[in-house]
Amino acid sequence: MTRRWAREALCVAVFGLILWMANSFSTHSAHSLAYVGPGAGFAFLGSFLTLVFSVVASLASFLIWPFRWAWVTVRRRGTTGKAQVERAIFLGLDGLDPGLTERWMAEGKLPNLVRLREQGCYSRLRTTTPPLSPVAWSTFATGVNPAKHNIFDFLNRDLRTYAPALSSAKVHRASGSAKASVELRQKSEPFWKILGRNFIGSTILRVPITFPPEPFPGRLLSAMATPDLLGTQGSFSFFTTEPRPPVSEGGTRLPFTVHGEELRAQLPGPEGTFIPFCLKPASVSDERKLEIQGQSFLLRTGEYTPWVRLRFPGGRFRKIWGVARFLLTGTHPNAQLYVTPIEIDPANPALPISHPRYYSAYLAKLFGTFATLGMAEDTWALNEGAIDRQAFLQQAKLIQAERELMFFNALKTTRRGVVACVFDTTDRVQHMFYSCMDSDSPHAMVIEDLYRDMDRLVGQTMEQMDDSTALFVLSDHGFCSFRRGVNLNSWLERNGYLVRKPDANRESAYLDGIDWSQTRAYTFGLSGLYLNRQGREAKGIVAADQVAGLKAELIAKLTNLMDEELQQVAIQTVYDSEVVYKGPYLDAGPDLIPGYAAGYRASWSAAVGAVTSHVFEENTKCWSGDHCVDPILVPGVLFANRPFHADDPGIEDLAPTVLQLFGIAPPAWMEGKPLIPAV
Amino acid sequence: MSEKTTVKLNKALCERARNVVQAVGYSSLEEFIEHAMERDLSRLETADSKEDLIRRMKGLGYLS
Repeated sequence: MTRRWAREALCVAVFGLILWMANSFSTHSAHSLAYVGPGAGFAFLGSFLTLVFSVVASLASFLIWPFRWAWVTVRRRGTTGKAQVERAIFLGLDGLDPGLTERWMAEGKLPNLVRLREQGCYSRLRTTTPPLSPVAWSTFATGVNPAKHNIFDFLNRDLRTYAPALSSAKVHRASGSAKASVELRQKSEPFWKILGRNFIGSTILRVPITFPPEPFPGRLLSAMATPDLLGTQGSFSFFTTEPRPPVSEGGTRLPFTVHGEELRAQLPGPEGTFIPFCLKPASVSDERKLEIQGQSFLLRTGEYTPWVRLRFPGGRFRKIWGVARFLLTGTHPNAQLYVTPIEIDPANPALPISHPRYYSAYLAKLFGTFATLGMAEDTWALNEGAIDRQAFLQQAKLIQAERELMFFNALKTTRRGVVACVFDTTDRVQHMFYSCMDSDSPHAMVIEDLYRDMDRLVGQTMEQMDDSTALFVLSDHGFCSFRRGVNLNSWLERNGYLVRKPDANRESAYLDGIDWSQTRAYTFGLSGLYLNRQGREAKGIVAADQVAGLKAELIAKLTNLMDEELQQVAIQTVYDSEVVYKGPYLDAGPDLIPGYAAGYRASWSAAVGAVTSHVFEENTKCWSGDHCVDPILVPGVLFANRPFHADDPGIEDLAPTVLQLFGIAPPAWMEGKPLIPAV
Repeated sequence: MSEKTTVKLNKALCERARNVVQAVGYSSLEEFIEHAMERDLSRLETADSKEDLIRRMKGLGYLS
């Protein structure tokens, strides 16, 4: 501690001296030009004030450090004495499946994970109900169930209008003002805030549901739910010379205009702005030269550009900075150019994406620009054919490499405290390549190769460990296939629980066209079934004394729901929220949670609140693996470099475990139990 | 990012609340008070435009 404060004081003094010398040098240079104006006086005064400020700051820092040291020591007493570690590392591999992991460990394909298991412990990790990343990682952070942290799904709904909305962040716009603020909807308290109050710092990298970043004594880079510059969860652009570009769901397809050998187009930005750009011929036939905002890049077919910085007008005297990669996907017969969603520039963020706010800029200066979007791997571009599988994999690998640089930097610079980093390439690649596994596809080995690569990452992390460091490698859920979708709105309609207005269009989504005066239950999102309850929903009709009866009726009818066409069970169980959840936000969540059988999930149409004419539908998208099923089918994994003792460890146990490792008693509201005993 | 502000509340009322917040499942008295305010505000404030809400969800991989 003494050394640290002395070092800080020295840094301030050196910094001040450098500023003073720089100012002095510039002043002397000005003199050499034989002009002595008022600027010289300002320069002298400026350098003098800098020197005075630096000396005062150094002196104050030097005089204060004994008192700060005493204060911190007193506050830490009672925690450091019982601390079992100096560092705790959480390496999160989103969606790493225990079945595949155990299979490939047994086949000797994951030697580092085997070594970690032998050195410490391995277990399957019980996930949350439902087993979705925003829910499970919120439970990881807080040690509580969804009714205490308020994240039940990717989506929730506005009870006044039934409009589905993102569950994790809410935008507030003061009436009559253009200025908006964003609020994190996750409640309770993450463990890194509790550690911070006890003077134990943390570096939290890309743990889901951390946008907008909340202040705490540590460093945090936001993840899932961080928007792009358009305010969406990721909207790509696709430019083509095709006369009639097909309509796109996840992005925008736009035409090139031909001007001789040059192709021109406009890239859409925030608030209706556009950036003009052009493609010019290059020396090789399948290459083009991209010119945009005074920058020039050579485009090779199938090869991403580096991040391109883009500036958009943001009002008077203000610019909004974004970053995107460009990928030429074809030149003949039609030119085709894919542009990633325009992401928030970490060097100059239009919205706070890190805490402290400058942390993202610090990382960008250190390692170059990086992806900032919540779900940066562009699954929709692959679903809709804007890019192919190879381009998707290339994109995922680029993002993984960026994140590894940050992670290893955090490991290197953290002597005491917590480093938690979640890598989500594992989740995205399994979503998009699951159907290729165990097939004749040229991509059959992609998932196995991915697991081997994650094993390499674990091995490199283990090299950074010492006896005073606890390492946990974990996933929030596993994976299974997604072959058939179930639209429970359609089932509810067929069975008289949901009524559409007579003029309602079946194409409409987002719960449009529903006659709420006759509807008792509805669904949207990936996991929940909601009752239209009096006193909760604006047009609720289910009275409080009817709730239990209606729930029992629906549970009885939906449990073992058969997909008649395939003669398979689609829903194997239905969970009652009042049984699986307990907490003050219970009313915000669903009333029932269907536990889908392997191979099934809420259909694409049900997820956006549509009521289709059919209950079951084939999933024909590249997105062919999923985990929105019965949680008992998709537990996660937990490896540690020290033994832990629990029969049935759950993801809620990690937060109290890390508190206990640092000698802090878990608070009474936390539900998880420490996996390692106190000393 | 949520900035915090300070308000003065009836001390006796806060003590009563402090005794129950953890039993109910809140992590702090502040969280309990914020939740109580949110519940009332949701009845008093104008709802967000549905188009805005839908636009913000666009691109989320799990939804079509």
